[in-house]
This record gives sequence, structure tokens and C-alpha cells, in this order.
Amino acid sequence: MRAALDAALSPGLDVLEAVIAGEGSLADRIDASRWQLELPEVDPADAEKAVTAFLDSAEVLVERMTKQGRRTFDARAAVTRCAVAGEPDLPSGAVGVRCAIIDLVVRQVTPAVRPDDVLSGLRVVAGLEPPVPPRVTRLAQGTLTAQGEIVDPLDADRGDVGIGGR
Amino acid sequence: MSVSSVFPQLEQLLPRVSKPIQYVGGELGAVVKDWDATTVRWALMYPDAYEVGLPNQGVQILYEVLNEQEDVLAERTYAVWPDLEALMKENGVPQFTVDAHRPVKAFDVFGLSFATELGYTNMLSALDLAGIPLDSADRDESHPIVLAGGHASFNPEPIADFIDAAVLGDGEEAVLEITGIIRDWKAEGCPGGRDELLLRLARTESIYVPRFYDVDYLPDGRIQRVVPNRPDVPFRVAKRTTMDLDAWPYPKKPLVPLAETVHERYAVEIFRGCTRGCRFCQAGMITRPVRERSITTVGQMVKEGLEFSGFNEVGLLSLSSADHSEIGDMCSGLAEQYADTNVSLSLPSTRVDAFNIDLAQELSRNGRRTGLTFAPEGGSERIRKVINKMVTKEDLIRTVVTAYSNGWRQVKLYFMCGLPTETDEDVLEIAHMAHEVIRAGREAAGTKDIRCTVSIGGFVPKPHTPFQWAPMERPEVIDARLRLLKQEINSDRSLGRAIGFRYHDGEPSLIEGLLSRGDRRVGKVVRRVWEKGGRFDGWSEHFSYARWVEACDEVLPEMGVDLDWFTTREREELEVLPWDHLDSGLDKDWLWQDWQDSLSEYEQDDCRWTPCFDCGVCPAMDTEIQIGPTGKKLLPLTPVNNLRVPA
Repeated sequence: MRAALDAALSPGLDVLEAVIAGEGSLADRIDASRWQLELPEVDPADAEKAVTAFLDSAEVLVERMTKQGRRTFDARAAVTRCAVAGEPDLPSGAVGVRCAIIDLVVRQVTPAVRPDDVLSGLRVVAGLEPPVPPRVTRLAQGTLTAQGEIVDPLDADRGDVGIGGR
Repeated sequence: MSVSSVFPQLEQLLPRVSKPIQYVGGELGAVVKDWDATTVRWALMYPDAYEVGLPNQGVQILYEVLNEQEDVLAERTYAVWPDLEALMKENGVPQFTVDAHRPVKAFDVFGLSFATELGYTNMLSALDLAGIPLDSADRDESHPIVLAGGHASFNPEPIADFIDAAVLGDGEEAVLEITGIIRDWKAEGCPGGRDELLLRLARTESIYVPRFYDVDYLPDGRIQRVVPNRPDVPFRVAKRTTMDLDAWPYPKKPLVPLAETVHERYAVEIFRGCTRGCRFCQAGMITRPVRERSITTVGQMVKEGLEFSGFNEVGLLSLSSADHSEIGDMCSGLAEQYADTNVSLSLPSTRVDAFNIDLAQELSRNGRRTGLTFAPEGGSERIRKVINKMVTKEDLIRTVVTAYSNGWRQVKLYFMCGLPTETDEDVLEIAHMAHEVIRAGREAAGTKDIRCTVSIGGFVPKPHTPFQWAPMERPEVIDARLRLLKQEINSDRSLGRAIGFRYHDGEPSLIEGLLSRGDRRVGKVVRRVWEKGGRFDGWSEHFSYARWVEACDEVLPEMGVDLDWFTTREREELEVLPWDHLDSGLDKDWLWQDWQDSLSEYEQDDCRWTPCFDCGVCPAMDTEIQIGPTGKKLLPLTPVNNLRVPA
């Protein structure tokens, strides 16, 4: 089937793997995303304080402009993980610009809580205002396990999955 | 020295702008080459937003033609929205290409395709953002050659100060010739600098370099003459015509957009040119002679284009598609080939001809039936004779009745207001026509539930047409006529409620008229409007009539002219027109004669089917009409979309 799908698509669009999906829509199985937030010129210690304040709050209200106008909503509840990652190793003697890196896992909720909203939340609870626009990269999206990890939403259909993963 | 992508800086700005996906690039069909492995590099721009610019056929064709050359690199750039423009200025991010996010300033050529004059202010924004001096005279070897193309370049005088060169007509061969000239000049070490390069381009006699021409004016404001200021530059610059379109089957690898665009389909030009002779139509006049693509080439292009792109809609484009000599076999052949697929076929707005209903039937075999559009253009038979659009009221009623009785429920009719010799009565006729369409349509369809939309645009006289001498109507008169028309349509409530009425105010058309027949003095107005914030003049949200009028009032009087002088003034036969030194092949005497004929309501036939009437194009350009029929048919395809999944 993988070969048939690949042949039907235009050259350059390659189907690497195909799994016959079970019940339910794909959208329903994607319930969380993992993000990496890079904050250049932000001291990791300051980021750490902000993240702690954020996680300690029961609710963090932020504002965002939507099609329906400005909305206020809670950015805290959807966040399952928010932690400052260690700074990347620099070659000895090298001078780098400091950069805080935040590892973030957010559940898919309505209204959607975006990484921008978590950053707004860090500003709201701790006054964290990055001097340079942060760079946000999605690392993964899929099904959130009980352990808080994000796994491939089609894992369950692969057929040979036992408890504890492939 | 290599050139790097500005994406890292751009990326930071994207979360703060609307529709950021339009700036990201990476479309299927996009080509990214190693900068250092190429010798001649083109940045191609359609000077409007991505959603309008990406589907443009002209740019896509040139993009492919250029990228097929191994040592040539072509990338695309579009107008950025004002929100991103502001951020780019603040953060020092230059105008970039979407393919590899390279700065436009680094390219050898910055080519802009102007389908409309209303893109001129967007060109100035792009130059400014790119860090390229607005004035051609201020540029040096570090700047690209700014080259204009597209229909508006048949009178580029309003932007003569800003462009380095213009190409008139078909671009395929032109861009390859220009590439060759630049390649050689660079290989020789750029002798003589920028001036020498521009001279070499001018010597081809089909590339217009404005700086090599001086314009003198008479005391009353008219142009006295336009003359070359260099010895080996031609008095007139000729347009280009690509013959044998079967040899240029582009686009082969159409771009598939990332953001929503105005057209999302694979478009094939089934022929270029038009000899119907509608007197207002610049496109028809400047693209002569007619050159068809054969049915087999069209079939091949559709097959490969769909396989490459995955589009599920095909548009068979031309100025008057039903006139293709093989259109019947083409439509039935394609309909047959794609019968059990999800591919739908469409023709653009067609002439009022019952034959088109048959075609439309073929094309909607799989049930998808969109609206039908016809363009009578004039409300009364008299005015249709003036514009040479030969269709009687009976033809129109018969055609739309056929449409309604064959299951169509929506018909759109295009008209113009402000045509030469027009009176209120001519415009009111539109209402009477629309009423009869509904009456006859309801009877034919057997139901009251049918609709007709009347869409009216303002007439703008264009260069290289018989109407290039015509006065424009004042916006107040146009607006008054449209009000009368609306009243007349609604004077019968029962019929009126089935008629939709769409129109544009007279003011934007007046400005289009200023630009279309403007000369170099109008360039100062364009610049002033841009300085005051004029952008996206083709968009009603952004267009400001007041800004244009103010700019005219500030800039033109000291030169002895004004907005009216360029728009509502009728020209005399012997007046030197700003584009007379640009040769579209049409004989100026023939155009004047056709203008006089129009005023006597005399009709002109189509030279594909009646004897040549000496418009001048073929002898002047050494071209000929290239039409079929070839007698071939389209063969059945092996099924494209039969996906068999193993059990």
C-alpha cells in the first residue's frame, strides 16, 4: 500500500511509511504538542524563575486577538510540562550569546493554547520580556501518554506494540 | 561571494503579521539552485500579494524557461503586506525571494510583470525595501537591471524614470536573449559598466531603454517628439511574438500554492492573440496574431501538469476560448479522458454564443456546474456596434435561455460604463436586457428560481487600441448612470429581485486612465502617491482616490497639465502619443480609421475567417496566424486515479 500511495503522488513527495488506521479520526488522536522555545539574550536563571512562577500558579490569564476579537483565557491548565533545558555545550573558550531554552508540552484544548500564549503567561507572572523575538519550533505532536511523553498517534495501529513501547 | 538567506531574520517577524505562510516558500514546483553554481540570476516579481501573484501564468512560464537553463537561476518575489513592510523597515530585512529568501538586490535582473498599471506603487515599495535606488539614473553595477514586462509595458512612460528597460510582448525568447547578453557581458568582465550593458540590450531593437530617449514638449503640454539620444538605438522598439506555441509547452511544473490564492488550478493557454477586434480591448490588439496550441499539445500538457501538481481543476485559457479551431474536440476529448476522476474543466468568460452551452455541457459532465459568464459589454445594440462586439439582443437571450433550460441557475453578464458616445439610454438598456433574460429564463427553466448577475466596470481607454484617442467619461457621470441603472433594474420588483448588480465607482477607473495613457510627467505623480503611503492600488481597501488627486494637484500644474488633461481630454489625429515610439505592429492609420469607423457604428470582421483588413501586425512583425484544425483527436488515457489497495 505504501508503494501504491507513493506512486500516486507527484515526484518529490515520498511516502516513507504507511499504517492502516483503526477507528477514530487522526485529529482526535493528536492531543498534545512538544515545543522548543529559544530565547536569545535571556539568562537561563531568569527563565527558570519565570517558569517556576508559571507552574506554581493555578491559573494564568493571557489575552490574544482572535477572529472574534480580543479574548482572555487561561494558559496554565493545558501545559503538562515546562522546563528550562540546560544550555548547549560550547567549545571551550568560545564566547556565546546566552540563550534560555524552554522545553514545553501543551495539550490540545479549545481555545488553543499556543507557545506564544505561554510566553505571554511568563510575562504576566514574572515580567519576562525577551529582548529578541523567541524562536519557536514544534518538535512533535501526537498522543500524550500517562507518563507525559508524546508518542506517534498511529502507534496503536502498528499491531506489534506492547506495553512499554516498540 | 555567496549570498545568504534572510529567513532567520524574517522568521522572527512572521508571528507578528497576517497570513505569514505566504512568505515561507517551498511550494511544489519551486526551484532552488546553488547560487554560486549559476552565472545569471533573475528575481521575478508579480507586483501584488502572493494570493494574486502566484497563479500568474506569465511569471510561472518565465520562471520555468529560465530555470531550465543550467547556469541560470530564477526566483520569485511578491508584494509584502503593509504590516510586514513596516517590520522589515524597522528590522533591516530587505525585499526577499520566497524560493530561497535571497535579497532581491543581489540578483542580476529584477523583472516585474505588470498586468495592470495599478501595480506601480507596489514596484516602488519593492525597490525601496530591496535597497535599490528608485531612480534608474542613480543605480550602478551593484544593482540589478530593473526590467518591466506584461501588458502595461506597452506604455511604460509613467514608470520610465524607475525602470531600466522594458520588454513588449511575449517573454519566452526575450528572457533567454537577455540572459545571453548579460552572460557575455559578465564573462567579458563587465566592460563599459551598466551603461554598456543597457546599450547592448537596446541594440536588439526589441528592448526599450527609456534613458536613451528624450521627450520634448510643446507649449500647450502635448508631446512634440520622442527621440533617441544615442546613435545606434532604434527610433521605434518592436514587440516580440513567440510563434509555434507547441514548441513552448509551459508551464510543465506549475506551482502549487501554500496559501489560498485567487486561482487554484492548472491553467493551459490554448491560444494567444485575438482578432475579434473589440475596439476597447488592449489585450486583443497587442497580442496579435492568433497562434493556437494544437489539441494534442494541450492534451499532453494537461496530463503532465496534473500528474506533477495534483490539481483537480484545469482551466483552458485564452482571450476567447470558444474560438479555438478545435475547441469542440478538445472539450469532449478532455471530458472523456477525465470522466471518472475528480478533475473538473473550465473555460473563462466566453463570448455570447450558444455553442458555448454545448461546451459547457461537456465540461460539466461530472456534475460540477459553476456559473456561466458572458460579456456583452454594451447595453444597446448601437453601442455594441461602436465597440465592435457583434452580438444582437436575440443572440444573448437565446444563449442564456439555452443555459437555463440546460440546468444552469446562475448567469453572469459583464458590461462597461463610460464607453465612447455612450448615453444614459445605452446604459438603461442593460436593465431591459436583464429583465428579459429573467423573463425568458424563468419560462425556459420552468421555475422562478433563476438568477442573473449584472457586473459593470468603468471603461478605460488603452494605448494601441482604436480607442486610444477617446475621452474618458467623468466619474460623476458614470456614478449617475449607475444609479439610474440600479433604479431601472429594480423598477420591476418581481424581476429585479432575481438580478444581482455589482459595479465599481468611477474614481479608480479614472486613475487607471491617468496611468494607462500617461507620459513621463505622470511618473512624478506615482512617486508622490507612493511617498504619501499609496500601496496595493488594485485593492479597494487600500486605494485612495483623494491621495491620487492630491498628488496630481501638487505635481502636474507646474508642467502645464492636470488629471483631466490625461483622462477626459479627447486626442487629435496628429498628436504624438506617449507610446508612439513603441511598436505593437498595429498601423496607426489603421487604428485611427477604426476609431472613425466606431463613431459611425461600422463593424469590423475577424481576419481568421474573413480577408485581412490590414491592421498592420503580420507584415510589420513578420508573423502569421497559426491556427488549426489539425484533425487529431485526444486518445483515452490510462486511468490516473485508479488506486487499487491490496486487500
